[in-house]
Amino acid sequence: MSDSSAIFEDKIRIQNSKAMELGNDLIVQIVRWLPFKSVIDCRFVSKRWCFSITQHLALSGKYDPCGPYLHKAEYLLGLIDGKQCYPKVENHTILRRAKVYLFKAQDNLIKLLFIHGMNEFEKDAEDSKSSDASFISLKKKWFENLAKLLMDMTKRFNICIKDWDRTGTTSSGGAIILDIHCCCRKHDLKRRKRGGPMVRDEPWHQQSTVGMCSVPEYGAWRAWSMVHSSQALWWK
Amino acid sequence: MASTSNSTSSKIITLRSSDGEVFEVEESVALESNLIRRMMEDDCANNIIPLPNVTAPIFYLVIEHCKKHAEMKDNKEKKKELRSQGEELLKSDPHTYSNLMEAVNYLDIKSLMDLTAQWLADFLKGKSPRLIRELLKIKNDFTPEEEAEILERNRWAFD
Repeated sequence: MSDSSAIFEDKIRIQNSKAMELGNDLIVQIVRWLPFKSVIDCRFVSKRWCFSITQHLALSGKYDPCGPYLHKAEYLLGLIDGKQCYPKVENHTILRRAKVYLFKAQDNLIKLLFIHGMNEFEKDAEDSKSSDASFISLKKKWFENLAKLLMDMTKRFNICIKDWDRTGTTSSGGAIILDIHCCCRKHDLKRRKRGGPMVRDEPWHQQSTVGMCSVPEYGAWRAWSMVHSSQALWWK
Repeated sequence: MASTSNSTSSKIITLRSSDGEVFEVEESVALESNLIRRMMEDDCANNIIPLPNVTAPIFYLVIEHCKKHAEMKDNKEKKKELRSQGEELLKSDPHTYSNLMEAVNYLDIKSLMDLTAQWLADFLKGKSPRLIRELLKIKNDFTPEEEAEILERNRWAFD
């Protein structure tokens, strides 16, 4: 074998070893086209698939133990075919980078998704050259904007917000999924005032029967109660 | 020797599959592969280029896909044809399709990689891990305990 042939064969051997490693890349190439639910399912195919997908999600910043809801939100969107609204939230300092999705899940249920990761909070904090105090202030601002948005919704969709709840916290990546139960009848709201099926384990919920404001602002008030509750988990 | 060239004017590249079959391929088609391109740039293409990771039937499929892909630019009919050919192969023999993908990946054909991966993903969408294993002939190397652990770690996704 000539020298050039030997070099050539070496190159082929190197390519071969790369090809062995590329199995993981190939899996990633496939799963990046899959909706999130299928990606999670694919982790059970084999150890290699599991490893590749975990690594891919971690490297792409889409999955870490603190931020699963970012993906869950995408997953829900994929399932329910949500329509992105408020693509550009004017004058909303914090929400300007957030993706906000709104979609009607059932007749009286609207889901509102804020996909706004902790990283985004951090970027905002950096932008404002903030200390810890102003970082908290940014979070507060976030809720102020959320309240504005909810009020805006009641006008835009001509609905009363009967109740809303959320999944996700800042510790889960900052994404929030709001289930907004709507109604147009005041007596539904009155019934709710007497104590509806609320989540009881969070301090801000316990305050929600205090200082009830007018019907359209009810949901917004709930947002405010979160902001102002000294015991709210979000501030810890 | 298998010839995949239609024209005599274009330069012909000779390639050898892992099972020893020799292919003569038009340079324009061969250059879809970044691996072959690099070989040629390094002056390794004066000889027959061996492709030890690709068997003849799979390499034939790759060439067919490459040709159709080159033709499909601005041609919707060709695009449909390529897609239906891919889907047909996927339905009839998903394992061979995954081998095709591996070959495309090995040969580093970027444009085709995206397409084949997307089609395979569409095919796998909604299928259970067990069915995916069966279709792609993948061995389940999880113990029941390991499987339970992953399920536990991902429970939030199914809440």
